[in-house]
Amino acid sequence: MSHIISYTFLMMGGAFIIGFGVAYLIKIISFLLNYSENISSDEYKNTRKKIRERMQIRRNNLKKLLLLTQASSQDKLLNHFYPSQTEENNDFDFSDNELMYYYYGKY
Amino acid sequence: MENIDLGQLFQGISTLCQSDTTVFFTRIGLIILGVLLVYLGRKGVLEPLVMIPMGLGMAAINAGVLFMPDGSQGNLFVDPMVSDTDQLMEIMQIDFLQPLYTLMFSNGLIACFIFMGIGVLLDVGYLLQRPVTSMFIALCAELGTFLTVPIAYAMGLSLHDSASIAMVGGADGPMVLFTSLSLSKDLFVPITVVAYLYLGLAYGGYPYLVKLMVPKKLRGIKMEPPKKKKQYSAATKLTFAVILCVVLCLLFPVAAPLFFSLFIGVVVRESGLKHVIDFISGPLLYGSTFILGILLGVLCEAHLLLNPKVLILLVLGVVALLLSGIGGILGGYAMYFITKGKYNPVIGIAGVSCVPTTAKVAQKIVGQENSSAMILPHALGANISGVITTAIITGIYITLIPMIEKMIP
Repeated sequence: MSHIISYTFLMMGGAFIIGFGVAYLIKIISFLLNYSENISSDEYKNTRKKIRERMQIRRNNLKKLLLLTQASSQDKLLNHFYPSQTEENNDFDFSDNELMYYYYGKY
Repeated sequence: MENIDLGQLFQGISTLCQSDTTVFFTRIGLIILGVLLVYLGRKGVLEPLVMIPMGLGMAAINAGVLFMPDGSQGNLFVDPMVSDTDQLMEIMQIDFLQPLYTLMFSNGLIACFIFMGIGVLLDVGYLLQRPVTSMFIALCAELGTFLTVPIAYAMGLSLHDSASIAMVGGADGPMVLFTSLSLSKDLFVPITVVAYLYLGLAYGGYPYLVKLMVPKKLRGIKMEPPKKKKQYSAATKLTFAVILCVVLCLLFPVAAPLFFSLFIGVVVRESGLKHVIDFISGPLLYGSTFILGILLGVLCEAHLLLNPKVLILLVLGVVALLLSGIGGILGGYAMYFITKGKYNPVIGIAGVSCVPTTAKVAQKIVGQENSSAMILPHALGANISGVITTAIITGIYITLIPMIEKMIP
């Protein structure tokens, strides 16, 4: 009889371990499924797109700032060596493409 | 006219008169019990889906006994004791329910069909919301399934029979049928009959147990809604069902047909296969339940139930269900103390996996005390976990009991 009682409690312990194992498995599965569902959702994609656009704008601004800084120092040099050329380029507008063309085209 | 033997003409009455006293009174008692089951089923006291066909089957089988060509007494319904293949083929052509019994009942197919139906009705979202709490409650509500094993063994049953009758504590008819078919071929008829009889009574009996164990003040506790309500899509639930089915089948191959049947129901539901859902939740589920009721009824033949172990089984069935109910409520109390009074202990009774009866019982009791308290989602989570834990225990018993029996000195 003592054997039966001890085996019963062993089986009960086993059932608890398996039961909780299954519960945590369910928790993990539901977390993973929820995560994969979120990253494939339109809302998530739109947010990512907005972040990418914002990063691009920031990068462009930085590039522009860098080019402007370069331009002011380049202008001094140009003014020193080629005063006529600098004068005619003083009125360029600061759109990205023209600025790039102006500098990369020259040097 | 004088050559007509009235005994041969009215064989039902003459077999009754020629039976010994025990069989005579058992047959009369079972006919009355059958009629009573039909009446109580019609009244709604017992589960009518099973009890009405079962009651009529019980009354008819005990009334319709006749003399067989070899002079013995028998019937034209079913013979569950036939095992010889030639004899079985012959009987299948005579007894009208024998094909259903042999090809649907004794191999557990009917249990699997009912499980498919349960699967289609299950929303696993409730389980996904709070798996650990639900599983804890369900495991506590299996107390009777475990403690009845040593009690039954002490009362003189074999370990196989003890495990089979202990499964009544899981309150899941198909599981009891499946376990007893695997472990107790000789006693599976009375064990299954006892199980279904008591499961029909659970709806009426458990409210008294809850009211006895949980004070009025605690019964009306309102469950706080979750801070962040998670919504699970059909695809999530489907993937969950597929993964869990494969894992459980890997762990317990002996109970794989049951796991498969349950989760195929869930998968069909979440796939949105409307026609298949309608078929499984309608004709298949109700048809199988009806046939199960008829077969259980016609298996209640006096000679089969006159086994001296039946009385012990009747006692042990009540013990198992009672202990499981107590265990579930104790689990509810444990959660009440863990959450510092925010958990309604009545939910514990829903851990007894009689889907969805016990969940409805829990909500009904709580609703009587506090009409604004809504515990049904929590109760259904525990209820669904109960089905999974009962299936796990079925797997454990079918796998381990034969091994343990060999190890016992």
